[in-house]
Amino acid sequence: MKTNPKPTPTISRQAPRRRSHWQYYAAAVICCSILVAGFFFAARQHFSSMEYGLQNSRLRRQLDELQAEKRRLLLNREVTLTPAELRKAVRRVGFVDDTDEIKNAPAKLEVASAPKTIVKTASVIRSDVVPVAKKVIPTVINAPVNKTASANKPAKRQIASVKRERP
Amino acid sequence: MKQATSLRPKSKRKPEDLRRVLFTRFMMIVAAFLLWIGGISVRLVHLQVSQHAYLKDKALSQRLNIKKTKLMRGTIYDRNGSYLAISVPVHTLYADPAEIDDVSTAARLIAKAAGLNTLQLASQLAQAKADGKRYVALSRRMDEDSFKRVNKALFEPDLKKSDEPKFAGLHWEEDQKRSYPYRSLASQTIGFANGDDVGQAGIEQSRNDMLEGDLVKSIQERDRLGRVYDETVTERQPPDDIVLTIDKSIQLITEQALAEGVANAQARAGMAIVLDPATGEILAIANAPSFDPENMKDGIANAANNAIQSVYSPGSVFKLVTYSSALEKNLFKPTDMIDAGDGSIEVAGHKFSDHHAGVMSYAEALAHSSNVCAIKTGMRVGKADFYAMVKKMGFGSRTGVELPAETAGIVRNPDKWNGDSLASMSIGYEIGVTPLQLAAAFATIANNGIRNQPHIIKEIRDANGNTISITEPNQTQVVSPETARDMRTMLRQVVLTGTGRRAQLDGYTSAGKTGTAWKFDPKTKRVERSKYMSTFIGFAPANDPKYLVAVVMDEPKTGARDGGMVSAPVFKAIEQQLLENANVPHDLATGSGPVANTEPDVPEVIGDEPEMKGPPDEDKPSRKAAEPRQPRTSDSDEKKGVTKQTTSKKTVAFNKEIKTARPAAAMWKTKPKT
Repeated sequence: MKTNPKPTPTISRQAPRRRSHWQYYAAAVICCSILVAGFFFAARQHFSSMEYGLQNSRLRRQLDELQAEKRRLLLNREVTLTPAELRKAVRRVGFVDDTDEIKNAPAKLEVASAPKTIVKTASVIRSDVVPVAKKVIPTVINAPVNKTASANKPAKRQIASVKRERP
Repeated sequence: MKQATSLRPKSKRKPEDLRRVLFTRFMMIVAAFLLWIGGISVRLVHLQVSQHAYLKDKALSQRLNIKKTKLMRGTIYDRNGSYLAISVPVHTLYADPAEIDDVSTAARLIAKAAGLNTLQLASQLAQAKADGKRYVALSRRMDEDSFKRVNKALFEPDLKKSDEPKFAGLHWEEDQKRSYPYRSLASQTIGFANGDDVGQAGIEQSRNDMLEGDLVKSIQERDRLGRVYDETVTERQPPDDIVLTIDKSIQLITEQALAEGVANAQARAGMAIVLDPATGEILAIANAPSFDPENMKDGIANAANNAIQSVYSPGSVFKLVTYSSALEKNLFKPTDMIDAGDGSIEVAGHKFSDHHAGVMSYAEALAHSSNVCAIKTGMRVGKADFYAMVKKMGFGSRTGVELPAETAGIVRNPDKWNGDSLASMSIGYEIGVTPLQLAAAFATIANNGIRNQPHIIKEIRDANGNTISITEPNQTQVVSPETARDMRTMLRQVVLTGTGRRAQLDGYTSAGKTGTAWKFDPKTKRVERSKYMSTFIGFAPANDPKYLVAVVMDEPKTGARDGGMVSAPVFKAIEQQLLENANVPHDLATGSGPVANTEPDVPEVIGDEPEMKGPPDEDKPSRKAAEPRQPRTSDSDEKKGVTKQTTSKKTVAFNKEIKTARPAAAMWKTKPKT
């Protein structure tokens, strides 16, 4: 009547084996997940850093371009303020710039008359051409645009009269 | 279930055999894996050991880009912050022929976009490709507009290329260009930089180490599309900026007046300096003719700054030193009288003469530029004291101005002087000076006897605009304030009644001195009768000088040609404008015009010719005075009735000195001596 007493111990041995397998699988899965997540995170960081690098490079280039543009603008501003450019601008807006003509007037006369005698040269240098010219310039330059032509006439007449007065 | 089991064919293999088969197969797979891994390992070892260097270079060349650029050159400002020289970035277009497949088609497109000659470009590229060259510069220093235009014209949308232009084989190189907004304004002072951004003249040259930008190396890492994702830049200190004492407005006024004066006098050249006597700051240095630093083809011959580089014999302006040294020794007062005798004096067998005879005050003697009185005064001062004063005034040594190639001038030691050297030097001969040295000497008198070292750099700034250095000039008390005051009174007299009447200003008192000298011809080793150096140096207002202006004309050809006629009007034109622009209060009634004078306008006597007895013919000014002296005859020769032309050894040595002193010799005047 002794029957097989195996069932009880068999059951008791198999149950813990199943539990331990699942623990291993779970640990492995967790480790793999961590590893994959780590790789994913690292990859993300890598591409993110590359993206930042690209942005940084772009910004650096942009900064260089802006600084270069600033220099160019400064140069342009300075060029615009030069006497030659101001003279052009004055003409462009319609004012008449007679400074050259007035300034050159005594010079031309002096050169023409200089070689003759000392006395004549001296009289040319001492002449009051320049002060007269100084009186003329503001009158002409300050004239309104639409009156430029008419305002210019008296100035020219004055220069002509100065020339006539010369010895 | 039993039936099914019974129907299944029974395996003939025993379990042991099956295990062996499985083991064998497993081992075969392992062996295959091992072989595979072994093969890979061998290949890896081969690649990483044997071909390490080659592959490393190849990888780096694909990924890394080493870029070398120069930092922008430092900026030069005037005293008010206006840009006198500034560098701007530009672009150079270059081709890598190895990257171009069809050279002729590429050349046609490039030439059209960049405005180049197609045939020339095609042959250039083909030749470079054949020679294996990787760099062919196509168009240098293109501005931003051209850069954009070329990029737009040479755009291939399908081309995968990281940099512009999107055209196979074409690249841009970053460069810089030096710009001078005011072009010829103060060009000799500012100088210019060459194509490699190295200063060649002026401040650009003397302060090149401060202005030149360092080379910056940047290592760029690129992705497969050529985009830069990482960059390592070697940081360098940006170059400094320089602020000059030059004022662009004053410079412009000075240059215009000088150019006009040179044109009127038909002079070969002219120089003008404006100084602030109180500080020694140079507000303007003008040279005519000038040059445009952005267009060097025409003006390279005018690049020399003659105001500091050329030596010339000053003539009567040097009497300032003579009278100053005598006043310092309390030998006279300006109102004391001096006898010019018959207008001639003989020193060591050399007869000096001019047209001023009789008794006159010292102030009048200077006002009329009497040579005899100056010589007498100089002789009273004595060799040692005169030489000491010459040196204290700064002659014979560089002023120390921060410009290149400054010359010290020529001042010989007293032990090398001839018997008549003191007399000659008293009237401004046998000495070589620069216009700046003269200006500094006059500034000393204007500044109560205190000599401020002339300087042109106001301050140095770093790239952020912070001042890192300010120039503080050396100050020396050269003469007493009393001497300076008396000298100013005497110089005022020159303008009021003497040779400098054309320097009288409207509404302001002025003081100064004229000087005229003949030029020395190094070929003939004699003076040129038709070539003058005409000088006027003065300041205003006379009692409280604000600006000192020195004007020197080289070879004026019209009119009287002396300093009072040629240079004084230029002084007047400059000084009048400067004082008015600076709103300096008038110290004279305006509109009064020049003070009436009773003397005729006669040119200053510059020669030492014995026959010169009175005012020269106005049409031929000083022509007789200009005649070189006849050779002296020795007593023994005279007895024998033989005229013998001899030249002393010292004179020969002195002439050699002049000749080797630079173009100096071309501007030198001395007396021919026997």
